[in-house]
Amino acid sequence: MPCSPSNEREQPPLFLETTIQIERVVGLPERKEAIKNRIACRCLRTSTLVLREFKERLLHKCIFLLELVLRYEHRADVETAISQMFSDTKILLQLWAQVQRETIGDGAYDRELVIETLKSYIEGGLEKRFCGKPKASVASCIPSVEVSNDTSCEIAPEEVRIEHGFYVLNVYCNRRKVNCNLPAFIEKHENAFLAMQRRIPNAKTKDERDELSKIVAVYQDAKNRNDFNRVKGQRNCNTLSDATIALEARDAIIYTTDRDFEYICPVCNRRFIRETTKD
Amino acid sequence: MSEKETYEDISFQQFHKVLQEAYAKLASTPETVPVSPEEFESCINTLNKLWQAPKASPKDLISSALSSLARKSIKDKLDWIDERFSAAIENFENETELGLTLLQSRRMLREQVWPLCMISPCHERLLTFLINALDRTRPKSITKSQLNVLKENIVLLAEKEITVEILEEAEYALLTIE
Repeated sequence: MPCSPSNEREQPPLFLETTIQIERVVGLPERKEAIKNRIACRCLRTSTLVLREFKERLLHKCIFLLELVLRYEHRADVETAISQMFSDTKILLQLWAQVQRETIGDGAYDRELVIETLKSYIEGGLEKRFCGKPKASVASCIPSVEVSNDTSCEIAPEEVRIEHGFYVLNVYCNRRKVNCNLPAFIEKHENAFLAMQRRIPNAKTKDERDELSKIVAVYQDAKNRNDFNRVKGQRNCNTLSDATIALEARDAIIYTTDRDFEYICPVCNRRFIRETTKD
Repeated sequence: MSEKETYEDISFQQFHKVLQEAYAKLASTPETVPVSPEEFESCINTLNKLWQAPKASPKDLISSALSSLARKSIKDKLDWIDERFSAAIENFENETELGLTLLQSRRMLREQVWPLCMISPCHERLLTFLINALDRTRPKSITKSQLNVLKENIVLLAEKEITVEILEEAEYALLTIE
């Protein structure tokens, strides 16, 4: 059924969480199709915090992948380097596979084409996909994903720069240098963190207890020291990010592949849909 | 300019022309532009003053001017690498940032610093040690102290002179990186 503005208004909006935003770009074809079908004819939302994570997890890795391709002439060497250099190669390999899907498929390795494709991703291609809607809803009155900015993240707007002929992207958040709204946002939603704290003794699994404990520890540290600025910065902001994303989704249904939202959302009174792998 | 010419034989215009040609050669690709046109003009003006009261032959003056231009350019590039290392050390848990710093620094040294590194054989050898050390590094296993060793030795390339003692020390320190 073709999309129409009324279709979109009939259903609650979907809030695209980071894992879905990444899978939309580098997931398996069937996963992409499932996501595309799920988000067709829906109002879509996301946030600057999700954009920051997307840039850190995907765009930054894209620059790294380009450097690897420039460093090693042969595909096999690039793949060997990926496996040897990193502790977690998952997203790099997904990105590498996506580049090949879009360039050579099963054909012979074309290094120049791969380099050009990676450059196009870096120079706006990936960000365009982040904000884009699937083709099925092109006729929609809402042309793109709505991006909220409750945390006033200062890293999300960082653009890829070219310095001395190299791509550079700042993804690092220094607590002392940024002046975002995360402290006020967390303080405003203190009840949600207190609810998480109460949930910990009744957690059903170790994973749930561990995830909630990590989040509550950061909140408690800020609360005990009466300094919510402590929630800012790379490490703490990342620890709180799932909870923050859940809270900024408000009335939208959070769309994710991340199991942690199964623990966070019920406590925060948020709705979510988790896209799972069919095994 | 032929070897036989002395400074009395050539005009300042000719001297200027030789320098401009050399500058154009250095600036043949955007990434290797050694200094801005304004800085280049300022260098020419300084040389002009020297020309009025010469203490060296034009050949020495040109060689010294080119060396100074190359050093200035190398310094800019090394400062950039230094900044990248500082950011990687500050954000040490981010393997992507670490990996990018190592790969981009290596490429910068090979593609942009190497062609300018005409200062001395010691500079060339240090550069070789650094590139080899960067080749052996892996973001998942490199330590902060190893990053600092690389950073300190990269900065050395900006020095006007590198003694054999300094070179040996650098070689020993860099060989421990793997």
